[in-house]
Amino acid sequence: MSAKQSKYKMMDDKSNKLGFKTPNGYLESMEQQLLDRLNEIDIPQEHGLSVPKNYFENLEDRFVSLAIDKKPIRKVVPLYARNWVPFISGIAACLVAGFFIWELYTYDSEILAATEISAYIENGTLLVGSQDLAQLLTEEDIDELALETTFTTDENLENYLLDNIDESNLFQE
Amino acid sequence: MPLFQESFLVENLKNSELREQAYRELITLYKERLYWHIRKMVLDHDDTDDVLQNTFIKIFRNIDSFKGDSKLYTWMYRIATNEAITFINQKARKNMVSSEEIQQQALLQLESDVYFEGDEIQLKLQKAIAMLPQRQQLIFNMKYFDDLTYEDLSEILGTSVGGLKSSYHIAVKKIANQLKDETL
Repeated sequence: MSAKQSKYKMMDDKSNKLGFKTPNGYLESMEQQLLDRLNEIDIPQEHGLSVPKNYFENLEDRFVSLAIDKKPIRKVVPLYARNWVPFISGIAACLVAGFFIWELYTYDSEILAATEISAYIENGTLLVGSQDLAQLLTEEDIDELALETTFTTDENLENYLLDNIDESNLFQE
Repeated sequence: MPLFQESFLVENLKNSELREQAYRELITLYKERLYWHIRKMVLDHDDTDDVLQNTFIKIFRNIDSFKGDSKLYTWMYRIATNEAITFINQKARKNMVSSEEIQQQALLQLESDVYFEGDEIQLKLQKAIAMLPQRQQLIFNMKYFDDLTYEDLSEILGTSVGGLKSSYHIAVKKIANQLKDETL
C-alpha cells in the first residue's frame, strides 16, 4: 500500500469513529463499480431510427417512374392565391406608356402630312425620277396607266391641249 | 462493389437502351445506404424520402457528367449530402430560423416519432450529435455508423485524410463526454 493510499485509509478510519458504517466490501469494490459504469456509457452502436414496414420494397418502381416516365412535377398555384397586384400594375403602366407613344406618333405624322411633305416635294428636294416610279409598278399597272392617258379621239386631244398649253408660249417658240 | 462492375453499370446508365434497367439496379444497390445517410442528417422519415427521391433523380439526370474520377458511390454520397444540406437550409429559410434550430425541432419531434425505436441513451446520442458542427456530424455519422474509410470520406467531403481523422476524434470525444455528463 502506498503512502497516498494509507492517507485515505486514515481518513476512512476517522469517519468510522463518527459511527457511520458502509456495506461489506463497498469501499473495496468502488473503483471497479465506477469503471463498469463508465464502460456502460460507451457510444451506442445503433442509432435507433427505423423505417415504415416494406418501405424499401417498391422504391425502384416509384423512383424510376419519377425520373424516366414523367416530366418534373410542377406545383399548381390556384388563381385566387396568385398575387395580382404586379400584373395589374404592369398592364396599367403599359396602357399609359402606349397612350403617350400613340399621341406623339399621330401628332408628328399629321404635321408631316399637312405641311412638310408638300413643301419638300414643291421645293424639288424629292429626287424621284420616272425610272424610280417605274420600278415600283408592275407591267400591268403601266398598261393600265397608259390606257387611261391615251387620247382615244382627236376631240380629247384638242381639249387636253386647250386646257394645258399656253398659246402665247407656243407663238414665242 | 468491384470497380469493373461499377464501370459496367455506369456504361449501361449512359446507354439509352439499357438505362432504365441499369437505373433500377443502381437504386437496388444503394437505396438503403443513401437512405440511412440522409436520415441521420434530417432525422424525419418523410423528409428523408423527399431528399432520397431528389437524390436519385439528380443522379439519373447527371450520370453523363460522371467522369469516373471518383468512385460511383462516393459521387452519389456527395449528391445525397448536398441534397440533404440544401433541404435543411431551405426549410430553415422557409421557417425563418437557422438550420441549427431546424435540427433542434427535428430532435424534439424524434421523441414522439413512431419511426424512432431507440432507447434513452440512443436519444441522448442523437442530441449529442446534433450539438456538433454540421461537418463534424457528417464525419461522425459516415465513419461511425456507415463505416466508410477516411479515403472515401475525403472524396465525398473534399477534405484531407489528416483533417478528417482529427475531426472524427474530436467528434467522438465530444459525444462521449456529452453522454457521460448526461448519464452520471
